[in-house]
Amino acid sequence: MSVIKIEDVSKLFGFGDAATVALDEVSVTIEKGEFLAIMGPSGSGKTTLMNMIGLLDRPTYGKFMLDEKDVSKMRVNKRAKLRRDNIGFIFQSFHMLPKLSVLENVALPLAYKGVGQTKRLKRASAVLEQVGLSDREYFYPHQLSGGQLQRAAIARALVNSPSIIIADEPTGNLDTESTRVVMELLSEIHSMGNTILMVTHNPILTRYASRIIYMRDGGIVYDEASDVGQLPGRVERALQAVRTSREEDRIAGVSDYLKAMPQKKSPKRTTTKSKKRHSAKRRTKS
Amino acid sequence: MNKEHLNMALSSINASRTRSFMTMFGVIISVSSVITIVGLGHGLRNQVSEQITKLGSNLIIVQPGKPNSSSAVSLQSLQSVASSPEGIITEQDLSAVAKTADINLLSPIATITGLPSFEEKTMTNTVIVGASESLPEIVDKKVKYGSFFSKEDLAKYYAVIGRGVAEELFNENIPIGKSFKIRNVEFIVQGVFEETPVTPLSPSVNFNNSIVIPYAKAKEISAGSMQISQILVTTKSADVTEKVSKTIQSTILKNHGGQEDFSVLRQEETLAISDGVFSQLTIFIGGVALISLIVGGIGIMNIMFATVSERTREIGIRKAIGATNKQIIDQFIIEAVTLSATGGIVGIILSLMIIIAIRSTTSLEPAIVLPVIGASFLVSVGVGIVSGILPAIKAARKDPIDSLRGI
Repeated sequence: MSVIKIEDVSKLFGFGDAATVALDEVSVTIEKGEFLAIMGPSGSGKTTLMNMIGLLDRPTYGKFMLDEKDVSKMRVNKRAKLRRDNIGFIFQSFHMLPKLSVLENVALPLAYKGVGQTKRLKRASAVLEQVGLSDREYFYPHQLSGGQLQRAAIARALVNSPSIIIADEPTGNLDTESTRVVMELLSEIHSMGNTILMVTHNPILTRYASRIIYMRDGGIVYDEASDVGQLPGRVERALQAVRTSREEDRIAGVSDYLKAMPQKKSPKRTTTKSKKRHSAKRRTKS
Repeated sequence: MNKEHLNMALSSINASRTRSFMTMFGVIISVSSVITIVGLGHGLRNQVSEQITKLGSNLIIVQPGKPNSSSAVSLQSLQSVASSPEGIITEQDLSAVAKTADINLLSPIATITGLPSFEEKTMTNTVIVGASESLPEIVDKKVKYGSFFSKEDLAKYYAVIGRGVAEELFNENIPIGKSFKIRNVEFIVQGVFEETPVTPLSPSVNFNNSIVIPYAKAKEISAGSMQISQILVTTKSADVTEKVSKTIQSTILKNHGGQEDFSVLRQEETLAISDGVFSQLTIFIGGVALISLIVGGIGIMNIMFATVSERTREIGIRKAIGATNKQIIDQFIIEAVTLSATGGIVGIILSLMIIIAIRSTTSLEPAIVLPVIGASFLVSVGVGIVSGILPAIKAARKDPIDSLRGI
């Protein structure tokens, strides 16, 4: 059974001539229990896709089925409730509310569900124990390290027992050790049968994933399943093939392995700008 | 859920204490001024009513001026010595009233102008009143030193003076037996009234500054310029007061050729007049204070709008973890209401403190009016709801994606 089914989804920002295409007719099906890693350069549409799947955003065109229900035309409040019950978010910059204690932060989704205070604090406490933060319950976010904050954020994402966890660069702000801890936690959650979607810039982390999607210019250019614990073939080859990096590429912020990745449709590089304009025109005509 | 919001509201108010206090300031000031001013009004009314009631239920006041005309309802009419241009009470009326049955005591009150002088000194701000020997009993006024003039003394040049006159004109407390001049006629001080607490808008003569002389002598020295400003009558019992007042009414009406240019007031009528005046005043001041409450509400709305922009990220996070638009709206409205209600409570406490301070330092006795306290609290809560709605809707409409980016 597919948890997420996306058919020809496009997302445009802006209107008319100023429109930019963030997603360009993307189709993808995600099964229950998959650990999906999404990679791609900035501006490739990863976050837009995540927001769409997380019901924070609507597709401009196309169909989005969540648990075999069409949610692309659903009303705002219904989406909020669906999001609350089915989706847990983990962000790069943690996004904890600074004025609440860790325990209250973790319990907040339950509060919006209408669970009584005692019950929800108990549940939050149990989840915090699961992520190894029992001794930090009454700390405030500013008193925790990045790794601890991200673990607390994972606890918040888990507290409603959602079927899908969306992690947008969960280790982007973390050091190596914290990254390891967080990834092992995500892996553990995955092994319990949850579906996890993770955006990452770090190719090594795809080792934890059961499937990798590579995006570029609003489209999926590469999709491969791999065993957990193994690097996907393309990633490994890319990492091995390119050992040197050119100074100008480094300045431009483009990693070498990204350049080694296959291009969409044409192997020749087209500039992002012309591509976008082209897509926008096509879209406005149809 | 609501408790959660309340906790959130309290903690976010607590986090920016100075700003919250400044926000509440408008509400605090308007609520406290409503309660204080209405309290002052009620206190004055109570004081005036008390004085009127003290005169007893068998008192009848006859005074010039149409009943219920503009002058009768104005504050001036409460001061019995105020002269009315609409009509006069003649001596003929006085003797007619005196003949009415069931009358116990009677005293005209006639004011004349004059500058009393003692040795080289003259006093300017005095009221010279001509009255009969029953005046102290009718208005329940005691003579502290000496005595009031008796019925036999009515033909003598006797005077009973107020405390203020004694001190200012004679420079001593008990100037009994001393003689002084009004319009070059010598009067002998027979007694000194007890000191009257000065109350504002007092309906009776300020006895502290008055010189009371026999009615006949007042008429004599005034050379015909004297006017009777009131006739005070007490009846033998309270039961007959209404009947007597009607008789007096018809008697004077006949004297005046059927023209009703005078009024015959009983205690309850006087009370009704003063009540009417004070309720008009209270409504007026209440309206002004209401406007200031609305201005306070606009202040809250302003701050809430600023808060919404400031807390964009927080709104985004809350939406991402499943808050519905309604829950966001609730949170912001509850915050606004908490601000305004706290302002209301602080305002109530402040006004109670002001009232206590006024009571202990001045002769005013502002009342604590519970319905007004309740109403101003409710209004401040209502102002909070109204001023919270627009910012709350703005908060709920924020796009969660933009909010999470912190735009």
